[in-house]
Amino acid sequence: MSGRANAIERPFRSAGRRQKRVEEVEMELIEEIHGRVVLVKARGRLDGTTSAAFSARMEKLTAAPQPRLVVDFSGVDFVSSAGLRVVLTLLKRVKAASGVLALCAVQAPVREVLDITGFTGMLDLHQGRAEAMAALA
Amino acid sequence: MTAFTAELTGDQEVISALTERVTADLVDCGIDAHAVHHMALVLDELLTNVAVHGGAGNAGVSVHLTVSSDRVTAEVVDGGKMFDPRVEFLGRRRTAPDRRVGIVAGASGHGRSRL
Repeated sequence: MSGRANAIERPFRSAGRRQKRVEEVEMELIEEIHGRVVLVKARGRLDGTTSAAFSARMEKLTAAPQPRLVVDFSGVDFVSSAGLRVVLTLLKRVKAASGVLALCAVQAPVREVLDITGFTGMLDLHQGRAEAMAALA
Repeated sequence: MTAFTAELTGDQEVISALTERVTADLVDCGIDAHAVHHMALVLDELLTNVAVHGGAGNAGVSVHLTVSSDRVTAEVVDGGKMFDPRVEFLGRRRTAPDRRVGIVAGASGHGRSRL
């Protein structure tokens, strides 16, 4: 905890911009149930700060047998290797439970990361939410 | 010109906030969004490595970005401990130290990276 407290006491020095507090870094997850499909709309960054909370939430949503999960990434603008790790963990968990995981509306910069790391070949990616929901319905 | 200077600890939330601020500042400087995203990714990964593997959670890291007409240069200096994974996991060093990413390591134990 000492590291975090220290960080707040020593905000970043940067000319001409409002100081950003560390508490503002977060990820928003909104879930909807559509029949047997769970839709999660994600917004924010998926990185070392948010990946644990994302993973815990997804674990709860995929606890049932044969989970069918669509994650809408349209609001996610940054995915680091920590984020990739929890996506991979989620995929393995869903597959082990004979379920299906789909991602949709992935922004171009994030899609580039998925392409470079080989995740594109492992994931069920859809252009839009409607296509993903239709595929899993 | 200097676009960004920060001193921070290796806390993960601080790293996230820093990369968000770097992104905003470089976009304000008129840098191409694609390149800005790459810089943010590299900084996030580098600083996370410093925090997780360098034990620099409380040792402090400085980040300095310079924008010129044809490039953005980032300099990251950390006080984390140095280690060589080839020695730790293989028992001995098999090849010469890797300088390809421009990491300059001093005998004092501090790491300096230029991107």
